[in-house]
Amino acid sequence: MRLRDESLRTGRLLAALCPGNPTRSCGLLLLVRGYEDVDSLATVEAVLGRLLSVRPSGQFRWFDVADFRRIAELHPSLKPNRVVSVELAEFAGLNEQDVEIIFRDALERAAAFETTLFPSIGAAVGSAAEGVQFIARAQELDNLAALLDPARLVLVIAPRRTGKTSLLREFTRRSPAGITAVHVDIESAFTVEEAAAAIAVELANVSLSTAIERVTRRGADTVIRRELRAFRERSSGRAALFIDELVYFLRTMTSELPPTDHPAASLELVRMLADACRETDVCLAVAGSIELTEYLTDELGIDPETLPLSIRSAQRFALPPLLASNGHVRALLIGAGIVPEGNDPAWLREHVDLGMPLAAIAFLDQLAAQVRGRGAVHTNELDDALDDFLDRTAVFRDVMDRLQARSLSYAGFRAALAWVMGRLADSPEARISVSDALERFGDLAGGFAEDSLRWLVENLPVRREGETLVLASRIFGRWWRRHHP
Amino acid sequence: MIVPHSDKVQRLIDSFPWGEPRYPRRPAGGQETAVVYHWMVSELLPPFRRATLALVARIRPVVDAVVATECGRGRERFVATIDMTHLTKSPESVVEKMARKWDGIGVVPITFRDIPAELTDLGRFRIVTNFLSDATTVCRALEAPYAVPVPSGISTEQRALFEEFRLRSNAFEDLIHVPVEGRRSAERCYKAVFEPCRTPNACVEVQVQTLLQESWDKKEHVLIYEPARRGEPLPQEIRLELEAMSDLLFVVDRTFDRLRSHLQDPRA
Repeated sequence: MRLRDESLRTGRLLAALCPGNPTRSCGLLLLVRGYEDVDSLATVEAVLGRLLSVRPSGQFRWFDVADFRRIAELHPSLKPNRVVSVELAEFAGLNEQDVEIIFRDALERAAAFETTLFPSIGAAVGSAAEGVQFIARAQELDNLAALLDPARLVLVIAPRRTGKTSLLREFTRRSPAGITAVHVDIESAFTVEEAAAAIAVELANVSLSTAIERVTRRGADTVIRRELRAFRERSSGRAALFIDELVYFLRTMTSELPPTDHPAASLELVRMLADACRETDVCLAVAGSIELTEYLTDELGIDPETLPLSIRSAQRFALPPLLASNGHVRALLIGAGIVPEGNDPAWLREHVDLGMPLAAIAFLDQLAAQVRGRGAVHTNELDDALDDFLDRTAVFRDVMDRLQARSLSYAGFRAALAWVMGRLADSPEARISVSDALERFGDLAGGFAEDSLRWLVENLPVRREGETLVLASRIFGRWWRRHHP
Repeated sequence: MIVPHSDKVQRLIDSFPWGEPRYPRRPAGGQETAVVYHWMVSELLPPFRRATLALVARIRPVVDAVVATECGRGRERFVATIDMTHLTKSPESVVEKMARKWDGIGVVPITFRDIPAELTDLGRFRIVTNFLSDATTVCRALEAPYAVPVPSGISTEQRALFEEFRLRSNAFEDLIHVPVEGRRSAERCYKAVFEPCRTPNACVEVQVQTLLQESWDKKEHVLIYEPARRGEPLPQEIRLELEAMSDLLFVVDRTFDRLRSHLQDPRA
């Protein structure tokens, strides 16, 4: 792996010219080093040709560039600082499908005269993925949209930092199926009033001080209902409220109360939210690393029958492992300006995927830092770099905390899970049958076989494909092998 | 018998290998010419454009090095730009050249199947210099890695060029210093054909010429080449005058070179 060669100046430029405002014109320059790049150029041109053929004609224009420094001579609207340069070597070894994945969204952004065309590894570490950073979750947006129903809560379930917040925020931007949604993170709220104010801020698009003033004057319940009703009326299609980290907030909110009051206080808030949404015909989805109904019933001991109907009949939306391709991984490297060389592409394909996006992105970020520091990292150093990352990283801590908690509640679960994971992590092609897993969980986990299997699929990067289980993250598989020999 | 140009073009189009593997089927409704041109733009020419772009990428650093090291004092006056206005020959020019090489009666010398092997200027670009001696310097720099034995002092950029592209005859053809009796055309330039080692038929023609020579060439293109392509008759006086202009500009180039040498080294 090496840094992009900034000294290259010859290539093929795809320009988005903005006739109304030439300063917005932008472009993508495919840098050519020599004849070694013609195969990649042919592939990229074929893919871009296909993508352009379904766009309005005249939106983009090709230029041959002898010297990037003289780009303004090609067209007066072209400015070097509005052109994104990539080496064609960055597409070496990719098939047309992967190249299309890399360019599909990039072309959309270029058409909107944006100059951040590719996701960046650094920007993806530690924050929700937005805009260009949001990758490969279009199907999940549609699946979530199909579940939303004012009569039934949707529980969005996945371990921490696996993309829940990113998905919900992107939903609010894209409005799939015509659903207008608002996302509220109440993790930092301490009281019901603060949570209500946070919700009002997003629903009514008012300042926090205004929202607090309204809540103080009218009460949390009234403000939430009133703002939900107004939000519903403003929305042309269906409307949805996404509340992030609700369980985290419930724990914070009740932390100062005697433990005996926790169930009632939590139930009151949850009921208020559920009823308000049902009455105003707004769909409600809650997300968090801890599942709401399990928290209410298992941890707080609330009788499930006393929960509001919309919560009792809640639908689970378990965020599946990211089904991203090799193209998505390469798009991240392109965004970072890192060029795989020699056997690097094959190594990446074999060892790095985005099944657990944060793990992969954190590793690529570390790798990119090494490349920037040293100028290059050789293929035979990549295995050591990955093992070093896996030995130091904390990205799997939440998963292990969950496993620990479950193991304490269900005797034998750890051993059964170790058996299943040992086989799944054995090799990238490994898979086991659902019946084998159920049998193992049934034998060792005291009869909670179905429940254990569901836990496995919802909490670890394991995908159920019909009657087969497969591991969806090669990085996690490698980590598991290193730590559970 | 003189076969009209347009008749030859039509018969060439008729001889297109319709429906053979890698070639389009013959269309209905008299759209043959459009289909042939589209085939050229979408199938025939793109590999040549890519080869040309790759050659430019390899040659540009060599030219930059000439500017940086060879020209010494007065470098700021040195102009060596790469003109990539038309990286490939147009379909019309390809067909015109095929027709021009054919008498219209005998066997077609260049068929559509033969184009990549027979036409060495499907991909092409120019390097335009300010002074005549700079054109020579650029040519020498591009030829250097192809000398036998390869000189020891060649740069990394020259070696990269050599490793990816062959230079036919290992040299540029000098069409500048050609005596009158040996002239085939009034065009003046250094001309070479490069071909990728990996894909020998993807030839790229490179011309190195001065600004004045390029200027003459562009005017000649409008005044003679294009009317000739349309089959229009050309008065002999115009041809003679343009040839004389080429000679005149050669003298001007030589004079400027001498003046520069004198200013850079008054003792020379």
